[in-house]
Amino acid sequence: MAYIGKSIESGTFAVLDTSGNTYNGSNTTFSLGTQVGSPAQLLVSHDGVIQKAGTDYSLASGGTQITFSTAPASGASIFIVEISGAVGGPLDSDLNGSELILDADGDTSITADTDDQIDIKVAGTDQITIKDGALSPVTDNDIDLGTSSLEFKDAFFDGTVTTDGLTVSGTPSFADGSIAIADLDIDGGTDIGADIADADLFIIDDGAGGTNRKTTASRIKSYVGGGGLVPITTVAFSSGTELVINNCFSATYLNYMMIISLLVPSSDASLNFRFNVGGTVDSGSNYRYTLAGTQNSSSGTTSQSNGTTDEGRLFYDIDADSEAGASGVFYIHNPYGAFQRKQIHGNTMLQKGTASNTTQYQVATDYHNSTTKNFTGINLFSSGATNWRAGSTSGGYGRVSIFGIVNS
Amino acid sequence: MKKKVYDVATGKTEILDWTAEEIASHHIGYASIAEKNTAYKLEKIKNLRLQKLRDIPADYDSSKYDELLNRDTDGNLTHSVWSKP
Repeated sequence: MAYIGKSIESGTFAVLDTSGNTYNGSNTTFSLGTQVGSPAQLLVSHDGVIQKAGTDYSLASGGTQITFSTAPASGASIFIVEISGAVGGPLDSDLNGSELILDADGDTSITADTDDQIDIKVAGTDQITIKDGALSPVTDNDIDLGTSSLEFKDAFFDGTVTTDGLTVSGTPSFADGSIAIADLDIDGGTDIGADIADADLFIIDDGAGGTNRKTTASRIKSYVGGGGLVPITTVAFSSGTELVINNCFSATYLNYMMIISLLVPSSDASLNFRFNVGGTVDSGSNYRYTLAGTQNSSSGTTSQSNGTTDEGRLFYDIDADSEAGASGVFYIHNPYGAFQRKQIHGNTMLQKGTASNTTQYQVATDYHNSTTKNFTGINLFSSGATNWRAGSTSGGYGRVSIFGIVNS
Repeated sequence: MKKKVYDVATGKTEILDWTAEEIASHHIGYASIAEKNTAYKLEKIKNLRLQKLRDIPADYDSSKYDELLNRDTDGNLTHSVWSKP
């Protein structure tokens, strides 16, 4: 019959030839003789009853076959009409909220059954919703954007990007000043594992203007003046007579500082010293000393070597009171260097006799030998083989600290 | 008499007894460490004499040194020679 009005301009509208199909009460799938994109494109009559698309039948084999939910009985009268919508044909229709089924088995579709919302369903599950101002997954934390092998190209966002994690395989670029220092977490970093060297780098804000630059440790050293004390060792006295510190002097430093803290003898004693080379002490008569002191009672006290002797002296007549102790700071000049004379001078304070006594000494003691010695260690011992009370490096008493002095 | 030996290069600590040679090296110029200690006591007595402006009787030999240096529990010298006249 001819069309009344304007005829269809595209697509198909015809009774399909299904004469080759045999209905026997057991087969459910039959050829359509053509290919359609959706069950809804078919008008199916089964013994005069219109079948419901998606319920009573579905498509198979990419839209070339129809599958009935119930096998048509032998001799069933079935005809199928393809209505409009040829595969790949244009869709010129107002769906008015109806579901637009896209795949052959009818489980992938686009629908707008909620006003102002588009739902995209894939494999029977709603995946993405588009609303005014929002493109959202239906399920939280479910959908990937791209894959490891199928990446998007550039992405542009004008707002804030929020993510649980970020892996950057390329070189990131940030606007100057956009990373706050509070956001840098250095706790989990790997320690440099060595003393800082001149070539090591630091980050510095150039002129406090927000422009970060790198700077070497040597520049920092120049800025702060370069000189300083480098800790070499801190050793506690044992309860014995002598403390020997080997390999504390070397060619690295010309001068040294030695701090002796709260040293107490088991009976009144002085603290003497000798230098050593590789642990071999120099007990030659090459030392001299003079200790000039003043007590808090204003009376004076002195101790001199009266010529050369076999040991130098750092403290004179330290009281054995366990609540007292002797402390002093000494500068050791050139113990390793190629000079015949080695000098130690410093200042000490100690208790002498009574607990109400405080005595200070100016100490000058030296070593002189016509043969140059490169001393590497120092022996600290009591006069008269008196024992010392055991000290503690952590407790800060009965201990010796030696520092190398860096000039620049 | 023991010594504690610490090597900065190795971090190793040893506690050792003084050898006979080391003991001898600590009383060079004296017959024994005891004799050297006696000389040390004399040095202290001379210092006290200068501080306190006292004369020590000429017959006070080394047998009197400990007596001269004796202190009470408060640390005060107890010998009468140090008392004010």
